Amino acid sequence: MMVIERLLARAGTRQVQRLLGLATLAGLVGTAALGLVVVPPDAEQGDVQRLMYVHVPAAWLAFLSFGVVFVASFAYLRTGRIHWDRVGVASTEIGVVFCSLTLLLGSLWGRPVWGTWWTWDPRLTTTLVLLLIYLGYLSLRRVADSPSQRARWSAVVGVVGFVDVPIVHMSVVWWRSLHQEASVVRLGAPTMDGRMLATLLFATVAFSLGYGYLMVVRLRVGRLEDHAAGSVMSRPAPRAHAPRRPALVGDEQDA
Amino acid sequence: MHDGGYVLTGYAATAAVLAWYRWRLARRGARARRLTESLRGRPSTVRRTRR
Repeated sequence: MMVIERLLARAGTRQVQRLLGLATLAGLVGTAALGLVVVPPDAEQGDVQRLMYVHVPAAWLAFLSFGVVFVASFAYLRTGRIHWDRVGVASTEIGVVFCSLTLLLGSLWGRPVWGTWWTWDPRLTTTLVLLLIYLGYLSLRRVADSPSQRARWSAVVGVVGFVDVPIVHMSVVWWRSLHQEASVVRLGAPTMDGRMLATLLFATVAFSLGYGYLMVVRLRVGRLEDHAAGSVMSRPAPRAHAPRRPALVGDEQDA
Repeated sequence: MHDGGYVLTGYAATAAVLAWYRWRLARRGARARRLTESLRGRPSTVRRTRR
């Protein structure tokens, strides 16, 4: 745990953040160039299959984000250190962004291939449930009374909610589904053309850099917001016996 | 490019969503910094990474 904390602190430096931002930008531009121009279209689906190079990395990064939430939540429940709560909520926000993107891109891919924007397919439904769980995590933080209660409640959701991640992954195996089965993360060799696989892995690295970059920025924003909240709390309270303002003409009308 | 509209929309949406979230973080950071400065009367001690 200490090693992860040191790595996160080191990643927060200005140079590392700038480098991560530039690498992410270059990676995303490279992904677009490879996915839209270089790689040939799929033999069956044609050009629409090019959506795979953003849809699949977005889904994997949503899983990674929620995995980090799980680890941070577990660490918070064990140690009680508020730093882990900050890591958990930062990764949840980014995971929600990637999970929403996954559903949006899947919908865009499903329309020409399946003939519908949405269907209550096991993979789609469990992914929607995943998104709702982590939206619930973020909502829960708004109703907690104290920072420690907020951190404890959300850590419990962060640990329990992660149960849905393997369910999403296995949903295409356990139930009859319109969604295709796993092509890369599976037992045996990937069932994909080499160039397509290389582009997919490149895109995944680019998205992972994006996750790292957003995490560093989000953690800094979290520290700033906590600092601002601390400033509000430490404001001097109004005096209890402050002299009352003399009544003015028109006060009765206002009342 | 057959079905190119869906593909281009997907790539554009990806870029737009990531850029929107980065912009939103920048705004939140700036707001928190302004609030701290207005309440304490001095700059936040949290390091500024962009100038």
